[in-house]
Amino acid sequence: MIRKKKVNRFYESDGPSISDIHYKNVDLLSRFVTEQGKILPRRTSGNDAKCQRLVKRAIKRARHLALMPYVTENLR
Amino acid sequence: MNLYETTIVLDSQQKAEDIQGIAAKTETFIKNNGGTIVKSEDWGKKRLAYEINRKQYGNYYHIQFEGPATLPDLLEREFRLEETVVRYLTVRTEAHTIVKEEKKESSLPAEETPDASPESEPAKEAAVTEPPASVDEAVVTAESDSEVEKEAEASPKE
Repeated sequence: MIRKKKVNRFYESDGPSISDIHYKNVDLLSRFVTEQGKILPRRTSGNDAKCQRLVKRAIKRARHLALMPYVTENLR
Repeated sequence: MNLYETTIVLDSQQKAEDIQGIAAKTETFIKNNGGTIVKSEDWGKKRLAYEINRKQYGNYYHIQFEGPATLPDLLEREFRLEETVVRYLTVRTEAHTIVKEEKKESSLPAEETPDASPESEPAKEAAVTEPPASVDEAVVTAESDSEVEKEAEASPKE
């Protein structure tokens, strides 16, 4: 996967809204992790501080419930 | 009274009726301790993103409820005693997600009649007064026992 600076799409009308950021929404959250399962930094994800904070928290919760991996399995 | 949501991961190797039993038991426990169930969802059997106690699959159950601030602590104690519960997470329903549900609700009457707007306003106020406290940190009961954390640390080395 090529890491490229992305734009924060949470404020665009056609993108996902901030209220979609939830640990249940694994499809959305998986866009903000690397192939290894690491959380992307803001400089790469393009999130502003608020969105990044919400995303971070949601990912960590999803990991706790085994909805998302801490480390991707095939890389072990 | 606060809005909470709990997700529990149940051992899928147990009998189906045991799994259903825990879900039902949790709901009655909430009701018996001064809470009201807002919504409950059964997500069914899912593959775990990583192995927990050599288990590959878990049954997920999600409950939204309203209750006194003491309830999450009581719930946690119940979950700890129950071996079928592999993981649990109770969080205060966050402010930014409440906005979404409000919008969904208020958009429906707005389409039909303009009279509906004054009705929906008190509901909005009620919902808005609670969340600000939760903005800083809504985690009430998140981290479980140290065993679980050790396991998570150990897994990358494998």
